[in-house]
Amino acid sequence: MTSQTTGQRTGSAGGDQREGEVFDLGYRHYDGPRGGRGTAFTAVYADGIRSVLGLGRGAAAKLMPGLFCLLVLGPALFIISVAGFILSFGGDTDDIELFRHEDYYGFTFVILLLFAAVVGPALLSPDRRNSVLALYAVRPLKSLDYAIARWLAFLTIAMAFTIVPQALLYTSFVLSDSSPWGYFKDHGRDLSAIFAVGLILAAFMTSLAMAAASLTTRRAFASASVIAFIFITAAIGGFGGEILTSDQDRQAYREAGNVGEDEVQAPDGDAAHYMYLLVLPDTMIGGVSRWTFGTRAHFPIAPWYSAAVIAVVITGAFGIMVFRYRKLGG
Amino acid sequence: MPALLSARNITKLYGSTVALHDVTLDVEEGTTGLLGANGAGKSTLMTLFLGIIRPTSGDFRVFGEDGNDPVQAHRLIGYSPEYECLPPNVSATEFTTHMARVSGLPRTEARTRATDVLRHVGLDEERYRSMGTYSTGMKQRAKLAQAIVHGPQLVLLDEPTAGLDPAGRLEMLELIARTSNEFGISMLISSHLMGDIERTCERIIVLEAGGLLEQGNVSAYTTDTETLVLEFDEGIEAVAAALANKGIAATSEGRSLLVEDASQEDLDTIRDAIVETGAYLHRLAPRAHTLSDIFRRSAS
Repeated sequence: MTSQTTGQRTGSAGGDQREGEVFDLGYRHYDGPRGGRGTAFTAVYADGIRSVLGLGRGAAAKLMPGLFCLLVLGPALFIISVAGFILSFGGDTDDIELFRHEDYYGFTFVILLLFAAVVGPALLSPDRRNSVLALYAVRPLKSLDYAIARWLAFLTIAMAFTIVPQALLYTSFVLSDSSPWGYFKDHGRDLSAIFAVGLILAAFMTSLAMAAASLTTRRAFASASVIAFIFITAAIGGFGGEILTSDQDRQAYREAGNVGEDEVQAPDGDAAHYMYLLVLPDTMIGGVSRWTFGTRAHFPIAPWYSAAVIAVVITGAFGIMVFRYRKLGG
Repeated sequence: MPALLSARNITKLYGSTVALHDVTLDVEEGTTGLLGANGAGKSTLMTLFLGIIRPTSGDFRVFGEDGNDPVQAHRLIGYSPEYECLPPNVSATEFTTHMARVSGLPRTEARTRATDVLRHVGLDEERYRSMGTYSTGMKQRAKLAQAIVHGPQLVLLDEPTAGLDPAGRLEMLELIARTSNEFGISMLISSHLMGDIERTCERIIVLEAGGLLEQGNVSAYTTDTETLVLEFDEGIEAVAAALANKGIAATSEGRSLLVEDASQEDLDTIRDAIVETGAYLHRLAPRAHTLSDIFRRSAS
């Protein structure tokens, strides 16, 4: 079968006229290289990224990712502008605590939660709903490849959401310092912390969104489930902890003066305070994030408990997705 | 040359429901029709060969290899399911390119072939539109496109004419036959419509209630079982009586007598009977059976 007939020149008249070429553009047999599982996996992963960002889809599909990008970057850009503004007037930003990395992660948590809830399910739910999985099932993929490639695709975008604003902030802190090298030497640890927390937070949100998406073919249900999971566990943890803490303990804790009154949770050694670990935003940001950045967690629970809870959520949610996609198609 | 697909004593149970019962068959190169009523086990057989489901018992092979580890075979297989399977918010170009990539083709090759294959199936102008806006006919074409974009050796098409009007069906069948003949892609096409299979396929497999009813060449069925049509202007009754005397069964259909599977001696006897009775013969011609005649007869 001829694939292309090139060089069949037609427009020969005129020296500077462009010469035409005739191509046979029909379907033809394929004898070229064929990749295996790796190529297929990469293709599903790349399509996942395009799908999250709305590339190759209509303008409406790009709206949400664009909006969330602006939301997550906005404050970082604002802080950088303020620093730039102060510097341009000869001011000194060294003594101004503009925004610490761990605090920025508190903000990222909220935006990434909404992003994961709204956009994340698009990676799994529609393919199951529209029966596209049957077409993946007859490609050179093993059963779990599809789900894991999708999971990694969202993780990649989620990590961009967590780390890019932090990297911008860090760069601006370094550059705006009177001694950039000094700042870099003093805050070198922040870089690894930024990466570690960014990865954990991204994995946390990705797993939640993908677990929810694997349980329903309706994106809206998946979105609502992600938000509901965070709120319901927080409500159980908050109220449960509150109820289980005795007035005596509360008083004792207050007197111990470890933290301000607003943040009183429960005294050390009381079983009640473990309930508070279910308030996942606190566990993630107050526990894991602050611990990683070397600042004190604001509740009196050993930080590895927080890390363990987050690890359990990530593993459990990932496990749900794996269970749901153990068989592709069929 | 080993069969592309082969099944040996395949049984598939869903609980107590028997989807396939002790099926043994081969699918060879060329076009094969998988015929059967709804629920006869056509889709079950296809998904089994594709490695999507496992048989309860029995062995099956794909390209001569054990079918239970299908990842390698999937590089050379295309499939279009019976139901809708296209994401509505994606264009045919985007989707077909993606499916070519997932089948293992390099990026540039995937893009070029997606364009070529969409033109081949007649989705040229519409290929940048979201597939959710497509008509049933266009969706069937897009499904075919994704099944052949990676240049497979074998394509399994489950009810490719479902939902199409008669004209659309003919166009689709013509496209399938052309794709198979011109590019040497073997096809297994399921349908509950005899006409579809007859028009497109060289070989036929007939399933009934999960069991294998028949398998063989379409031409063998239709030519081996020929009907001789004798059309008379007058004297048909006399000829009918003469043939009955000579032991040849003939059924009357209007002005014609029909004789099934006439041998060479039968032809001589028929000629003599016409001469003897002096009937006016208008036309004498063989008529190949349609598959539906054959199966109607075997059913009765």
